[in-house]
Amino acid sequence: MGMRCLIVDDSAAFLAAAERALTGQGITVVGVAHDSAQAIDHIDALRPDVVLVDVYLGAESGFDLAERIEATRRDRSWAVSVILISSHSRDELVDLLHESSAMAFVDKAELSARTIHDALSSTRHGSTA
Amino acid sequence: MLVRPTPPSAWLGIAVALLFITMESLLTLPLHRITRESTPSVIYLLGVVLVSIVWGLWLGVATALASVVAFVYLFVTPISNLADSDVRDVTPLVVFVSVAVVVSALANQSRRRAAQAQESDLTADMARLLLDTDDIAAALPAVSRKITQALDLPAAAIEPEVSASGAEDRRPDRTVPDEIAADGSAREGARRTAFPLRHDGTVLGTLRVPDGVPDRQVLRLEQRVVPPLASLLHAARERAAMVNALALNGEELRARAAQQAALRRVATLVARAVNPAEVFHAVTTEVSRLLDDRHTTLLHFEPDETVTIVATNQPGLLALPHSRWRAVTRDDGLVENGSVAELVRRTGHAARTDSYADLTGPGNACRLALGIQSAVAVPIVVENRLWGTVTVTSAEAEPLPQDAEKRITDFTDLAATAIANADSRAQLIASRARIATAADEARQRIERDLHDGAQQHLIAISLNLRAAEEADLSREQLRAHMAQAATSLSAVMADLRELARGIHPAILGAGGLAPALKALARRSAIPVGLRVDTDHRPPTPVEIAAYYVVSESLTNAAKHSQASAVDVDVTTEPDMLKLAIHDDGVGGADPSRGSGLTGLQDRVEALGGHLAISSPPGAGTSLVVTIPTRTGKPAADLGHVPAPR
Repeated sequence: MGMRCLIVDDSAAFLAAAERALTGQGITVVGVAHDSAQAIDHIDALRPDVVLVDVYLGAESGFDLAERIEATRRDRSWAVSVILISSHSRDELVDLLHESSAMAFVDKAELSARTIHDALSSTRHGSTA
Repeated sequence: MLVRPTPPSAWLGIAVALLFITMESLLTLPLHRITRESTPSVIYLLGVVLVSIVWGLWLGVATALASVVAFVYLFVTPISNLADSDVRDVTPLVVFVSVAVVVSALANQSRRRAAQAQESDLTADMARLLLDTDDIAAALPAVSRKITQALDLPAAAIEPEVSASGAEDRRPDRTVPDEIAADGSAREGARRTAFPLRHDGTVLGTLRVPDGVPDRQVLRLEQRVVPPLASLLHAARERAAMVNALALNGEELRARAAQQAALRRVATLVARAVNPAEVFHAVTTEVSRLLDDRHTTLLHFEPDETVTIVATNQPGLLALPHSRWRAVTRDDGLVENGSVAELVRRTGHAARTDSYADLTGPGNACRLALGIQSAVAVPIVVENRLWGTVTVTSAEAEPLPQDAEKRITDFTDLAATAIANADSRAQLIASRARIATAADEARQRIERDLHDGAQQHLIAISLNLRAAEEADLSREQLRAHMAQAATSLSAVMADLRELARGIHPAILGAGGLAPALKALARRSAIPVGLRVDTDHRPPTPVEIAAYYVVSESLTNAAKHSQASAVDVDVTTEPDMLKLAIHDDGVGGADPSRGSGLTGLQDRVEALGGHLAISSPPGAGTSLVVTIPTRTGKPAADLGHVPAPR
């Protein structure tokens, strides 16, 4: 059973490329969202396992959306993991990532089924440690 | 009318008494013939009363006795019968003498009253004359006339005392000839004819009357006229002094008002930020006008030891072919030409020469040619730096007023303000130009980086892929092509990220100063002790400026300071962001040499902030920056490149 994934990004070009790439690597992309409101709607309707959130959602902040999803974790009957993605390197954003509740981060240039799995497992290790 | 303070002469009194007795006797004669038994002696009372009133007691009693004698002689006949005649006939004697005594006493009293009234009138007249005038000396003859009239004196004169010291010597001199001329008895009178007018021991003047004035008049003068006259004279002098003081005050006020008006005119020019040359001209003109149109020159001491005439109304200087000369100080420290401007240049303080008469030297020939006798110079100090001087020269023998320096200083202060303002404006314009240039250069650099880096890589990838598409390649070869393209793309990504970070740190927009500075600190070559104490996010331009100040400082420290550690402190106050950076390196950083610091200064000042650098050799470099965070709109838009996504 493949992983169910929702991608949130304000760039349509990236959404299309990422959906094609991830689908090709065995991930089920259940949907895409262009902004926070759409993302929240889709989470409830499509019940994904993983939400990939771009750090910069135009005028909105990906960090804020990640926090909203985490904050409403108990309202849902299933577990949703959040992975922040960005065209900026982890290096640039590391000081922000430490402060954010969503520890998982994947560089957009390196986005693949494998890096998503790695990010999720490292987060789980981190949270249990 | 009959009772006058001073009775008419006694001879006139005797004549009047005899006349009355004769008339009365003639009148009584017919009556006596009719009534032989009782002759009305009462008629004689008329003369007795009149003489008693007008000429006083003694003449009154004499008239009474004479009337009795006349009556007895004419009507009590024969004389031999007098002794055994009626006691009735002696009655007139007693009655007449009593009437004379009583009436003269009454008359005396009313005469005193009249005298008092007259003296009061005299005092009032003197007060009016002395206190209603601004010129006491001119009023004195009128006062003298009043005294003469009131006391029936032949003449009187009041001599004012010119000076207290000289008066003691001169007064006896004037009286001595009189004393010598007069015999022993006149000596007493001569001394009494001069009445010193004293107040509180100070002699204010002398009242003089001719010799031979009766003692009674002298007594009245002494007791009734001199004291009020002295008091009035004193009051008049006090009043004159006060009026003088007021007039002087008025003059001073007018002078001050003129000064204020002139200052206002110049200040208006300064406030309107007109060309400094216009302000210099106004300063020269106004200073000249305030100091009685004396020649005024405004000089600028150039950094290269030359002196330039900036503005002048000295005709000789206007005619000079060069308005610039070299200020040469001799080895022995003496100034070559001894001018006040040179003194100011040397000392930095105001200078004055009240007379050039005793001076010799090369400068004096020029001064003589220009007709300069005295001069004053006041420094123009712009932001603690001696900029120049305003000199005022006088062609008159008397020196310039003592307060000239003080009055000129008000104008040099304004000139200094105008210069400082012009400097600030020039600096502002230069700073704007630098900011614009920096932005242009940044754009140029970005364009070049894009062109040389990403674009070239992308072209290479494009060629590579096209080649792979067209050639009939094996699966292995195709995979190698794809791997190469992916590697090239990673390089492009890295290039673009580096470029984007140079344009604007993404983390700053997303997380604010604290994470952005943390990122800087982590990348720094020198260990950074970072303390960020912020309770709110300042406006974006302030964050950006603070970020670049830290970034540039860390870069500079790494390049030049040889420091082992850098401390960075950031604190926010309700309306202010404070940034302190200190390294323990070699110091000696000079903002005028590196463009980096100047750029930071421009950036901070454009936001209304302040950047202070202190970098003494051997003691590290300290940078203290304050930027207001609640100024509404920033002072200038830096127009930086928008933040990347």
